[in-house]
Amino acid sequence: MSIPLHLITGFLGSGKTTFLMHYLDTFSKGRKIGVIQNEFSSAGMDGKIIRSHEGTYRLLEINNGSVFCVCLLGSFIDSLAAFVTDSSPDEVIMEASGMSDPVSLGQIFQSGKLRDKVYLGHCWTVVDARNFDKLAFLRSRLEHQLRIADTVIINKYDLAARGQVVSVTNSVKKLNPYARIETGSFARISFTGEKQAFKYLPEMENTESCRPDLQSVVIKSSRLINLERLVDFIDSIKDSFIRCKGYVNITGNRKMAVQGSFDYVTVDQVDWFPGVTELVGIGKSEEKNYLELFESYCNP
Amino acid sequence: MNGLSIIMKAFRLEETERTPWVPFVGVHGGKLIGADAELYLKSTQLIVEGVSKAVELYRPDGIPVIFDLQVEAEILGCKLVWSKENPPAVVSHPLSEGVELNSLRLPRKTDGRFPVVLDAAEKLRKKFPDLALYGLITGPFTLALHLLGTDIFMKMFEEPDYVLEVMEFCTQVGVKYSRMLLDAGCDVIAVVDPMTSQIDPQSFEIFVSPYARQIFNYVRSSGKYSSFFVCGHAQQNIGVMCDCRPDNISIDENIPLDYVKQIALSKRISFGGNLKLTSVLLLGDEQDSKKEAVSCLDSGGNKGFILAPGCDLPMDTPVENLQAVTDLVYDEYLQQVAREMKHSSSLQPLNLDTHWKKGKVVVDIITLDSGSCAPCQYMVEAVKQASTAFGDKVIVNEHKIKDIDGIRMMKALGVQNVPTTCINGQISFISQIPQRRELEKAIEKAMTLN
Repeated sequence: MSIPLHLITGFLGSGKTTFLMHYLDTFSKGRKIGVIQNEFSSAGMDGKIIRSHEGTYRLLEINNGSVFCVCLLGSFIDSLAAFVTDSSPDEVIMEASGMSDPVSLGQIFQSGKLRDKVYLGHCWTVVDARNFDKLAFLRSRLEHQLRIADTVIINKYDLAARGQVVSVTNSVKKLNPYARIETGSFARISFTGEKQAFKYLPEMENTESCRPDLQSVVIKSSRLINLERLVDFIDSIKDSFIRCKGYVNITGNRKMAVQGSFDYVTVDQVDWFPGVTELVGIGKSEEKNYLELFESYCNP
Repeated sequence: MNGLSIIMKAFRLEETERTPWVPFVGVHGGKLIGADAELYLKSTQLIVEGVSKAVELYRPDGIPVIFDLQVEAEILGCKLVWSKENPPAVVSHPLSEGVELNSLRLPRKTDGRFPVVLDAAEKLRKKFPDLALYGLITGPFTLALHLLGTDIFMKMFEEPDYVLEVMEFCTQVGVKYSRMLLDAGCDVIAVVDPMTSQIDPQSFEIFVSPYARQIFNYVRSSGKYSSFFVCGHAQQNIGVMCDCRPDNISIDENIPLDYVKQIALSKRISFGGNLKLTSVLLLGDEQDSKKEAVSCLDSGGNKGFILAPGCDLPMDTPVENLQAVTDLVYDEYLQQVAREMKHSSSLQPLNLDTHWKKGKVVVDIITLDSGSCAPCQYMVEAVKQASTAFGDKVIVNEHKIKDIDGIRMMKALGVQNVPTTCINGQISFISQIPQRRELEKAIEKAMTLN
């Protein structure tokens, strides 16, 4: 049975580790949670904090430092596969480096060694309400993490001016109209309804025994596709897909947001931003080359 | 034409007879000779062996000496954690831990692992005089991030002058290391600055451009060539990267190649990339690699384009995937086949229920098109000649994969290469044109089994 790997992203100092502790406080009773930390730059400090936390979890520290790019993800495949096999957690939660790219990370879950073990679960992005505008020059990275988020936590709202919180909330809504937005202090948010927000398994959440094995699918392509062909493509995969989301480059310099589960998928035009097409999906485990399939629908 | 001259032509935006190919072999070289990443990156001998093996397997036009962005940082006091499968990671940042910038000294040739790299460069230069040897240096912004840690981002906002001082120091390190690499025989200095993907163009122009430009100017004044490598979501910075005046920019799969082509060529700069590292080269198979390569070749064109992976090749990248790319680079027919196959995944295999005829041997030849592909033509002729002796007992069909049904037949028969001959559904001859007698024997055998 494959298990979800949830991601916590966000810039350094936004409150990712605090949120991770909050998550463990809330969910670690009776569940075995695997924890992965990838924030080496602060000299292993986060590892120390997390180790002092009591609860049922296993910790995997990744010794890769700041993961620069997709080229360093290859060796993570083996350590993650071993971690999941040896610790057999019910779920894994990963605190990603502030500079990491959730979509590239999702790509490695397609490897044969991980395909039937883990899939990309929920993605939380933590934003420091006070710093969002200050870090304008880092926007492209932040925006990318925000666009991929299922839930955005606007943290430290108690320390920020009210106007700041409203302005950040509006910016986030504009970037990602589908994400659930929570404001929090010390990254404490209510998880009520959060399981619904996972959205991957709307009806199957409580019936794990009869759900199919799931796998992550990442389609990253620089090819353009016609809107009609995109709809055809989505039609062709909807039977095997439980959920998909992402942004697709359409002919005529347009960008579409794709979001949906089962046979209800919405495709909406959003403001153009630079970057290739990136679609992340959760599907039934089967050997199929979705990238190739997607590109077969693209323009020649 | 040798590799060095074809790459120089691409750098000068002259048309090339085929696309130059530069596999970024770093610790993957260790894999090729059975050495782990740590041993490999600390040994001149292993680097020379690993790169030599890569040259033999991948027939590149250019190749890096090593791909390790921690060499300078280590010398400047950053602590490293070594791994068996990756380059080491920087885990301490001296300038954020009490070390003063003015106490840092420019490295000397004998410091840290410089002797390992420089010695390897000299040996490889002698061994492969016709190959473009890439000397990689850590880009000034990435080196500054190694020294300062992620504090650099807040400091860019709060203490910009200090960050500029750090950048100036890192640039001097880069110029000095470039000189050493050029003296050791490198032809191209690649400034690898992945962390610039984190910032916007305005900040890039303030914090990166003046410094990167100094290094490129230095390389140009030495009569050599330079490349600017970036990976990650850096599409916003392609224009400002070109304005730093390197001879070439190299990018990964996060940026569309045709976008880079358009910007780079309009600014008269050559460009390279962007074979997908993880989903295709590492996790895909040979067919995926060929399709990906032909897609890059078609986008890149034959003027100013260098085919390369998006970044440092993961250690475990399957050799056969990179060899598939190599074969494709040198063989136009393979390119055509890969092109035809690009859109094949949505096609269903043909139903073969009515394909077989009782008492007859059915020979199927999968070709690109015997009218335009010489190897396909020879295969078809050979099969037809060999089958004449059997009269109407043998049915010969050519299936051109330029037609959709040809591809569907290829799928149905499980054929991977073109031309391939199948006898009664069994793959019998792949690519190599068999002798007439060999073919006759194979047909006779099939008859006895009918």
